[in-house]
Amino acid sequence: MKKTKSLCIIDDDPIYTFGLKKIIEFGKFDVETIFYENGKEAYENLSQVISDGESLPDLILLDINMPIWNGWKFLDEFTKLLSEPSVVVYIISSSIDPKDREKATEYQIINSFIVKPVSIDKIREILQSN
Amino acid sequence: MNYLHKELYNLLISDHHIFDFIRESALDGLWYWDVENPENEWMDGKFWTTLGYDPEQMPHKSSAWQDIIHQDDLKVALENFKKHCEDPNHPYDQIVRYKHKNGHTIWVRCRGMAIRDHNGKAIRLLGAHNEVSALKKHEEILKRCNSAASIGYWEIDFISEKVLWSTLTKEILEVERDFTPTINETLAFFSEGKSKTSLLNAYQNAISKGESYELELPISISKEKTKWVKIVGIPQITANKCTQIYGTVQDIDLRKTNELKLREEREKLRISEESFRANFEHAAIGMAILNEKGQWLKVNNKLCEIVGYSQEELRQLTFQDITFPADLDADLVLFQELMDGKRDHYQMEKRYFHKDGHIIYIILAVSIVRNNEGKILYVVSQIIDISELKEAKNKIHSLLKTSQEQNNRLKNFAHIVSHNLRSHSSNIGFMIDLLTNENEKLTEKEEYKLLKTASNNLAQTIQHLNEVAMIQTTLEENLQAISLSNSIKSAIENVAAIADAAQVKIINEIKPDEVILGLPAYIDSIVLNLLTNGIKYRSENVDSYIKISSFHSMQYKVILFEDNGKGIDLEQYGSQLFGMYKTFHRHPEARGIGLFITKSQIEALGGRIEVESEVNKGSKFKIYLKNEKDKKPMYHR
Repeated sequence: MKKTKSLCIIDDDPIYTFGLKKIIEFGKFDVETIFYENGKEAYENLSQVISDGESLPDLILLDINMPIWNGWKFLDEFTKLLSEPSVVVYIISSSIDPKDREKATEYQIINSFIVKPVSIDKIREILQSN
Repeated sequence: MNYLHKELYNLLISDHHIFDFIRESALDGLWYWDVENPENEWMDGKFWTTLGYDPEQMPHKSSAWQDIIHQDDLKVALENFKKHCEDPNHPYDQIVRYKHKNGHTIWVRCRGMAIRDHNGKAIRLLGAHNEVSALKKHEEILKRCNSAASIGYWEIDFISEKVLWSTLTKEILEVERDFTPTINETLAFFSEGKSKTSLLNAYQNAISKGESYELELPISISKEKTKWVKIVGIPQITANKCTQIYGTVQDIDLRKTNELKLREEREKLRISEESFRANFEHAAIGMAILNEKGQWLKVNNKLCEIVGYSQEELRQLTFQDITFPADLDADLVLFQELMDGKRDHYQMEKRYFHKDGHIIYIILAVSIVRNNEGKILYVVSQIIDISELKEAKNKIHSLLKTSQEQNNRLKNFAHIVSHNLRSHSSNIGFMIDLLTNENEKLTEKEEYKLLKTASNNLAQTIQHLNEVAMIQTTLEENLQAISLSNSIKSAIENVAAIADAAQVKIINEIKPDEVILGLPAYIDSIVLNLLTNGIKYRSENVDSYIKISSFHSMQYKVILFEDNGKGIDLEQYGSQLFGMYKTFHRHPEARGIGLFITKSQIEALGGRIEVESEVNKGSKFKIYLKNEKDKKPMYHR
C-alpha cells in the first residue's frame, strides 16, 4: 500500500468543496486534504510550509476564478518559490472559455485541465496516476 | 490766214526780239546741237541759269552738261534721238533729270526736232527745255501718300473709253505694271455675288444719278485668293452726262481680316459668356461671384436654396456674415492668400449658417479672376452642400459606437456564460451525482431522472450559448488557405460510426486539390454539423446518402451538401431555418442550434449559406466560401 497522499484544494466555491469532501469520503480514498479559499491564502500558507522546511502536498487541485488572487496569480507567485516542479497541479474549473484552456498550456507545472463537475471516477484516476 | 498770224510770222523773221521774248518767257532753255560735229552745241543763257550755272562761264560744248545729266535719262534720250533720226514721226520727248549746281535734282521736259539735209539725214538737233520739278515734286508727294496709305488711283473715261490704273492700283490688284484693262475687264475682278451686285448698283447710280460711292468689298485676285478693298468712285458730270468716273482703291485686307477675326472672337466670347451664365444660373451646385471684400455680387439659385436667403438678401451680405465663427479664420487666411496672389484657388470644408439658424456643412472651392495687368476682377466661389453626407457620417459614427458597446456587452455576456452560469450548472450536476452515490434507489425515481435530464440540458444549452457568443467576425487577413478535401475526409471519418449505424452512404466528390479560405476550427465545425444533420434527418424508407461536391461561382467556392432525407418545409420554416433554437423535426437529438452556429461561422468567414429543400425528397445546402486566390493583399492603414 502506498503512503497516504496529501491533497491541497484551492477553491472558493463551498458547493464544490462540499461535494469533493463527500466524494473522498464515499470513495474511501487514502488522502490528507487541506482547503484554501483563494490563491492568496494558499500562497501564504504554502510559502510558510516551504520556509519551515516541511513537505508540500503531493497534488494541488486549483480553481481559476477566485477572489483576491485567482488561480493564475497563485501559480505565477507559487512557481517562483519552487526550485523544481515538485508538486503536480490540476486545474479544476467550470470555465469553458477556450482562452483559459490555452493559458493552462503555458504552465509546465499543470498536469491537466479538468472541467467541472468532477466525478468520483475522475478523482480516483487522478490519485492513481500520481 | 488771219492777218495777225501772218503779221507775227513776218515780224518773227524781221525782228529777232520777238523770238527772244518767246524763248525767254516760254522756255527754260534752248539748245542747238551739231549732229555732224557732236562736240559742238549752243545753249542759251536760260539753259544754264535753270541749272544754277553762270552762262558766261559755260562753253558751248555738249561735254558741258554730260556729267550733270542723270545717266539713265541720258540713255533714254539717246535712244529717242536715234529713233527720231530714223523716223521723224517718233517724238524726241522725255523727262530728264539734271543735277543743279547746289546738288538738288532739276526735272526737265526735253523736246527736240531734227534739222535734216535734202536726203532727210539729221544734221542738227534743236531742243527746248521746260522745267517740271514742281510738278514732279507734287507727283512724288502724291505717290508717296498713296503708297503710304495703300491708295491707288483709277479712272474710267467714257469719252475716250479708256481706263487708267495707277501703279499702286495695279499693285493692289496684283496685275502686271503694263496691264491696262478695258472697261469690261475691270468688272471681272469682282466675283459673282453680293459684293459684285452692290458694286454694279453703285456704279450704275454714279452714271445715271451722279452719286458718289464708297464701298468695302472682297475682290478675287486669283482663284484661291480674295482681298478686301475699299473703293471710292466719283462721277464727273458734264452737261447732264457722266463723262468720267474716277476714284481710289485702297487695300484694307489686313484691317478687314483683323476686324473679322475680332468679330469672331467677340462672338466666341459672347457664346462662352452666355454658356457661363447659363451654367451659373442652372448649376446643380451653388455658385457665386464675390468682390475682394467678400461681398456677394452675383449668386445663383442653388446657392440661395442652400443658405435660405434670396438673391437680394445675399447681395447685402458678405461670406463672413454667414460663415460659422469657428471656421471663419481658416477661410480668411486662405482668402487673403488669394488676394495677395500667393495662390489662385483654394478648397475647404466649412460651415454656413442657414437663414433660419441651423448649420449647413459645405465644401467650398474658390478661385480668382484677374485681368492682364493682374488686377483682381472678381472671385468665383463654388459651394456644395454636404450636410446630408455629414449627417449620414455622424449617424454611421454613432451606430458604430452603439455596436461597439453592444459588442462589449456580448463579450461580457460570453464571460458570464462561460464562467458564472457554467459554474452554477456544473454544481447542480455535481450535487445530483452526489445524491446517487449515497442513495442508489434514487436513480429509479422519475423525478430524479427528469432532474438529471434538465441539468444535462442546462449544461448543453450553456455550452451552445458560449459557442454562439464566441463567434466573431474574422478579419480577412486571419483567414488561411485550407485543404477542403482533408477537412471533409476527417469529418467523414469522425461520423463513420454513426453513418454506418444509420445506414447512410456518404459520397465524397471533392477534388483532392480543392482549397478554400477559412479558419480550420470553423470549417471542421461547419462540415461536421452538416454531415451529422444529414445523418440525423435521413429518410427511413430509402437508401440514404449524403453527397458532397464543390464548384465555383463568381468569387466564391461553393460546397454542396445534397441528401435524400426528410427535407424541410421551406415555405413554413424557411425564415426560421437558421434561427437559434428552431427545430423542425421531432427528432430526439434535434437541438436547433447547429444550423444557427453553422450560419454564424460561415458569415464570420465572409461567406453565406443557401438551402433548397423539399419535404420527403431531400435537402441541398450550398456553402459559399471565399476563393483562396481571391484573398486580397494586405494594406497598411
